Amino acid sequence: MLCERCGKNQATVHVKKVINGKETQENLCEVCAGDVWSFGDLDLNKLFSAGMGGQRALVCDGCGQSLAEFNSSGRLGCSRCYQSFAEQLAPVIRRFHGAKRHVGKVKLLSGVPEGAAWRADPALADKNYERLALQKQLEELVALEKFEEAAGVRDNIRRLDDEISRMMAQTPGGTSDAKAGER
Amino acid sequence: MAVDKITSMPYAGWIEPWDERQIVLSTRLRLARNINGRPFPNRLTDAEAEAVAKEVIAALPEDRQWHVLHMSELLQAEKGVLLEKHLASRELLQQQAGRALAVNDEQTLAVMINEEDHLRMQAILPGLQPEEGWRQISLLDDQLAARLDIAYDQRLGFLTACPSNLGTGLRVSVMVHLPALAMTGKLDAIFRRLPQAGLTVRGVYGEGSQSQSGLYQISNQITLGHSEDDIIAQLRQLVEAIIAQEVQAREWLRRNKGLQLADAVGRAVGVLANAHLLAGREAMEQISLVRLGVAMGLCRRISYREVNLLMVSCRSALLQASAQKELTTEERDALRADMARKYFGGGDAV
Ligand SMILES: [Zn+2]
Ligand SMILES: [Zn+2]
Repeated sequence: MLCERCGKNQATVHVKKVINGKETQENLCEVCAGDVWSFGDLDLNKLFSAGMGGQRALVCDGCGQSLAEFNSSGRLGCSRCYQSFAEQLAPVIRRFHGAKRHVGKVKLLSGVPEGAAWRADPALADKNYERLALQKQLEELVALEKFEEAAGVRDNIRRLDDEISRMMAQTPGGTSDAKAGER
Repeated sequence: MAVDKITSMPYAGWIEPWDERQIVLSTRLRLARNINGRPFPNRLTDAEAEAVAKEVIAALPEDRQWHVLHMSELLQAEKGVLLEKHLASRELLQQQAGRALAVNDEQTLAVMINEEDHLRMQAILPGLQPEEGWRQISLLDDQLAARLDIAYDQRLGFLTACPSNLGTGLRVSVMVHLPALAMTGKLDAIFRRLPQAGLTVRGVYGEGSQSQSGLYQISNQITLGHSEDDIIAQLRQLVEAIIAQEVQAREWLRRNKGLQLADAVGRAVGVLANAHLLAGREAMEQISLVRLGVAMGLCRRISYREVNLLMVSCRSALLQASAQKELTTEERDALRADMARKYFGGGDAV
């Protein structure tokens, strides 16, 4: 499925909206999804308690905290809560941060010889997102049993991984510094 | 004992003079991180919290010396000192089981354990140095992440107990002294523009935008969708613009209100050098004026270093700790006045 906004990239982000009780879905690519969100006001309490009626009985299977508890405290119970309440949290997060996806220090998906690699390099972060999008695309194609197309995407991922490895060799940082600190 | 100096002495690295203008006192950076698969601190049992603390303490890098303070073992007065040195937050200090603070020997890096998040790393530097602060705290972060399984999502970034810290988990705060802008009534207009840039401001030692000390803390509020470098660059740009306006306001005061200003500074020196009872609020007001006077060459009886030290020493909790007992309000005001007189070479002289 192509992105409904730019019509160029594969749509991997599916934004559900409920307007007057009717549910609609917008299908966007990784790039366009990042631009959907606009700046709102910054009142924390109002933001985190508003607009979450309905599914107050929802409970996180990671920690047992309910959505209602989050509504009153403004705090989540565990990192899994972000998946358990993904749909309810998305508009809250968008309104507060006015954004977008995470940029800055990222955990690289590939090109890592051992362990996790954290790098605060904007070019690497971009490649990392490209890879994330391709990975999602691959999963969807495999699920649809479009194996020929999937093979093409897999080649692209391999090419991207080579590129990321090359970039990492050129940029100092993250893990190697950390290792030096540990001696 | 080494730990004593962290919970009693007023000295902290940022008190040392940093640059000529001294309008920026300190830069603080905070990184929020959590460990995968564990409930956030507000949902931990005591035993689980202690296990998290143990894991974090074991992961601290060995290339520096850490002092680990357990909240359950601290006296009330010691906690007050940690709070006023900005090494620990009220939220951490109010709790017990598995709540701890690791501080490096220089007191420039601190890790709060099981505050709102499992880890709250902090770097404190004198002056305006957010880039150097990020270098230091990011290295510590990398070192810890090599040993801990950090909660992270490719889209949301670092996962935090409160969604307001998602993404980088980075909060950069700069403490600025803006007495001239306050006197000329320009602060409100400047501060009103900050939220548009995703920044917030708060009076230090005061309520809201009122600050008896003339000290304000400017911080970024948005953590998702902007890189650490961008957050830092934007904050620096705005802080530098505010510094320029404070410098301008000081020049305006010198040219148009020179006599009144010299009078106010002189009177402030008079109060601090001679009072025998000094309430906290009054002390902050007078110290702020003297600090402005030192900056503008209107007061040579005290150095920047001394005036910074006096500002911190006058805080109630440090007075309490130095007295090593609970003080009444009057005893505290008397002790504060004694302290101020000593800084002006007075002792008991009138
Ligand atoms: Zn698109
Ligand atoms: Zn949960």
